[in-house]
Amino acid sequence: MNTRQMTARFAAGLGLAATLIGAAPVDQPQPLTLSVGGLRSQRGFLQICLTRLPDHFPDCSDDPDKRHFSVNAGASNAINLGTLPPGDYAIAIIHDENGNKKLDTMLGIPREGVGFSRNPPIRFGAPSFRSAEFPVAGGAVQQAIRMKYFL
Amino acid sequence: MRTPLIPAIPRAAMDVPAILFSAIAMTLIVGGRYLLASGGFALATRIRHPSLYTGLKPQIRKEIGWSLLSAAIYGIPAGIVAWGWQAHGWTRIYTDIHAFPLWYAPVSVLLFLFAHDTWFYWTHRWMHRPRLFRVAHAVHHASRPPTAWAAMSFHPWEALTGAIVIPALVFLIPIHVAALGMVLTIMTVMGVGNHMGWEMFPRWLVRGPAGAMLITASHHQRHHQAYNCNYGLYFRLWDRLCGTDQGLGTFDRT
Repeated sequence: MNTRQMTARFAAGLGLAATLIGAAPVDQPQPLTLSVGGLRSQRGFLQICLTRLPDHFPDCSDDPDKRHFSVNAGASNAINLGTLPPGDYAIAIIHDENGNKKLDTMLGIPREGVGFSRNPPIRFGAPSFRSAEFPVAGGAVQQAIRMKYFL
Repeated sequence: MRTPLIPAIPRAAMDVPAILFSAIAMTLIVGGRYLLASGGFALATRIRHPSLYTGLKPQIRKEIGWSLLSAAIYGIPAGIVAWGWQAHGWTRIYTDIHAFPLWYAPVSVLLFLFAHDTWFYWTHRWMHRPRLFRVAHAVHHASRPPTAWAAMSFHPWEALTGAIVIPALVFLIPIHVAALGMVLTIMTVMGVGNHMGWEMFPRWLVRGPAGAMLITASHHQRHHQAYNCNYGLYFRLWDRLCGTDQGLGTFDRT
């Protein structure tokens, strides 16, 4: 066996080992797609906030990572939220029907729909980051969110 | 995809829906508790004294109406406080029984009952002053004789004086959540039992040393007959101290 053959064998062995350990290394960035259901109309936009910082959920206005997205409410399936470094994330969505880029309220009650990843129940107020977080690691991630309306 | 902007759901934006939900849920709980407790004792009345409520149907219908209105007046402050307890750690309600010595759990129940009794005695006496009686308390005395359905039959003004007691006390006196459940159970059972028109406790208790301190149906019946005595809720202490205790009443219809 010459040197070239030995190198080839070694490389093949490495490849096999990598396959046995796991298809994709866990520290690779992964794509995230989002589908939004329960929309009461196709009007306006979905203002989407994606964060990994508990202090900036569900209000990510000061999130230094600025993972903010805006899509037409009519295009609510398979929204591409980019490729993310592994970690725990949470999503908050406003169905901004009048397109004024904020959550409208009346007497403190949201007049536009809201949604959160993992669809946590809203019992005593805004959901915690912990109740909405999901991991990004090891492969493509898909999230499905149902919108909630109060008025 | 459009230009990124700043999607912000302020944490507070979910608070009002959560408070409303809690207030509505608590109103339904209080109303359901009333229907179950009063319905249960009305059924017991029908078994023990089949004709006791004969001819009282129109009165009972009014009692149920006022009571369900009172359920909302009781449920709203209780719901707001329950929300604040869960969302912001308001109140001194605790869930770890060892947060205080074990002996404190029964003591806290007695403290709540004593505080509630004191508040009730003095607001009740106040509501028997003629002007206030007409405005606030006449609705409750319109039950002649009271029935098991009259337990929460209050005018909204009177209901308000009763509704704030427990929600205020949980901010002042530490209490385990199960002990609080005990207080609410005693409140419900005594409230219904004291109005149902017959004595459910044995004679040795009512006429014995315990009955000298505790208020049961026999004592409260006299208040509904004579109006100007026996104002207390759980204990005869304030009535005795203030000379308003006229002893036990009689049940003419049983």
